[in-house]
Amino acid sequence: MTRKVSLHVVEVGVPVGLVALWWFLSDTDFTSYYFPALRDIWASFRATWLFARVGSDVVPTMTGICLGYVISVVFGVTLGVILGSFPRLNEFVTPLLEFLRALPAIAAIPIFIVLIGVSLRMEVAVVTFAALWPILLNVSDAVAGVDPVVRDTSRSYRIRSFDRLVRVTLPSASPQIVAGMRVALTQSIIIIIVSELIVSARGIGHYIQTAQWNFDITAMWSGMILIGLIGFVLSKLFQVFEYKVLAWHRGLHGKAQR
Amino acid sequence: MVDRPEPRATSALTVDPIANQVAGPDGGAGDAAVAAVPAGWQLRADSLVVRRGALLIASLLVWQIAAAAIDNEAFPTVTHFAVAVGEVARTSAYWVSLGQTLAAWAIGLSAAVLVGVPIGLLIGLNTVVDHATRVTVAALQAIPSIVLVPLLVLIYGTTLQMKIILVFIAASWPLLMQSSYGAREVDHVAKETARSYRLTRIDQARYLYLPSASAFVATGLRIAATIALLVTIGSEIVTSAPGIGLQIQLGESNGQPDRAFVYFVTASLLGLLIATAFRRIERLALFWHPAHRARQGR
Repeated sequence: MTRKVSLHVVEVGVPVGLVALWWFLSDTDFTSYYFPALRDIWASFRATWLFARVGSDVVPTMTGICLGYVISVVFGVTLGVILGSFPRLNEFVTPLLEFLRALPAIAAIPIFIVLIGVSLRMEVAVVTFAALWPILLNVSDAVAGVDPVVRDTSRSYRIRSFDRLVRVTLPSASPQIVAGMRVALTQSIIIIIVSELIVSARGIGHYIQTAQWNFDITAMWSGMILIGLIGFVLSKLFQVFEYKVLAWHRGLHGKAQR
Repeated sequence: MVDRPEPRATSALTVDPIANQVAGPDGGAGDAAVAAVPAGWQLRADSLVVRRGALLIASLLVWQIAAAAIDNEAFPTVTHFAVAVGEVARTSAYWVSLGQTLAAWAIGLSAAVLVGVPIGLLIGLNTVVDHATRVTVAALQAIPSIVLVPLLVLIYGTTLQMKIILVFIAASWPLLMQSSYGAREVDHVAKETARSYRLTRIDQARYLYLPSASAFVATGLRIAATIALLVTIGSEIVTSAPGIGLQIQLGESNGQPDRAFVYFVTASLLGLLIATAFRRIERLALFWHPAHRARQGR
């Protein structure tokens, strides 16, 4: 018992201690040009992100991430279900989808810039281009792989095809769908940040880039920390979502293992 | 970070029950077919080639039509693209930038393996270290590494060194995470059996921990290899460090978008090559696994 408690204390204590160490070390002579005092970074962070530039920079970045991600999920799941329902077609196009998923989508950003121009539309398009494939591939694979016994049973009970989709196919495919969605989320964040770093008039990436050009290292750090926090919070939110959606699966799996 | 590793979804071990189910009936049918008509098997192999060929032609056709419809230099038609390939492949810049990208990728990834795997194994084996690092590692690996580019480029400039350090940081996390899962999830019965047979520490490491963890490490390696390519090219595009990414950027800004597209396709093929190669390595590392043995017996 006491060991368990002390382990939990260590768990939380170490990161807190590390931040404290950073705070005090960077406050003393250890400070260098590229690693300004955490005290200054925090001051800059508060002045910039709480909440002076939220509307002008954070909102555009988050809009790009959310729009691109939602579009990818909607299209990925819809197309995936359709593809998965036609096993032969699915098998035929899978190598192409594998290729599209494997390509480094970042490399497509300059092309999209020329094709569409610097705009929110361009950012959303690149995010979709990056995030669609992992979802689509996972969904079509999972839908095609629904347990044949379950599929045939629901068919022979003449369950309407809509009910079959919502109550049988999608739930049984959900673990894999969620796995694809997780990959897609991290892709979305990276793509938005990079496209803002390359060329943009607003957004957190743009703020960091401008700070770098002006050698405002403290401001740059505050932007980097904000993006780190956003990445962390989004992945935590996704964990909660996953926990809720896959609760039934975990129960089943856990019991089967024991 | 891309493709964040997660023990259940990415580990080959948990795929096991499904794979076994599939391998059972399917494997039986395959055996029967091979025994009865060996010629039919030959035909099936051929039809795979035919199908892949048909897919390739269909894709090129769709590409051609789509490019003609969009009518923008940045997305050239297949014919236009073929001409550009001929031009670009003859320039030394093409091969040099390919080498520059691959060098950063390979060195950064190797360094990440050398550092990430041992630390991950240590975390997985030692409960205290595990708890001490858990929250910190979870927080740090959720940060998209690409955000470090502006800082690294100030410190190191647009150099190979900058790219290597970025790749190293980005690729270390999945290796570290997967290695720690691998060391943690060694079968309890096997562990106690080894101990009660008084296997020496070295033998335990060799016959128990290494094979068991290798599957997870191989998965981590595959994820890390893809991430490494992504951040290499990403950093080249953002900072204009020499490499394929820079060439894409240059092509677009110098009014040679068809050339940029050749570099983009090169990057895509690299991505496919790396994904395929490391998936194969992952399968090799799983040679001992029941699901894999079943598949081989087919």
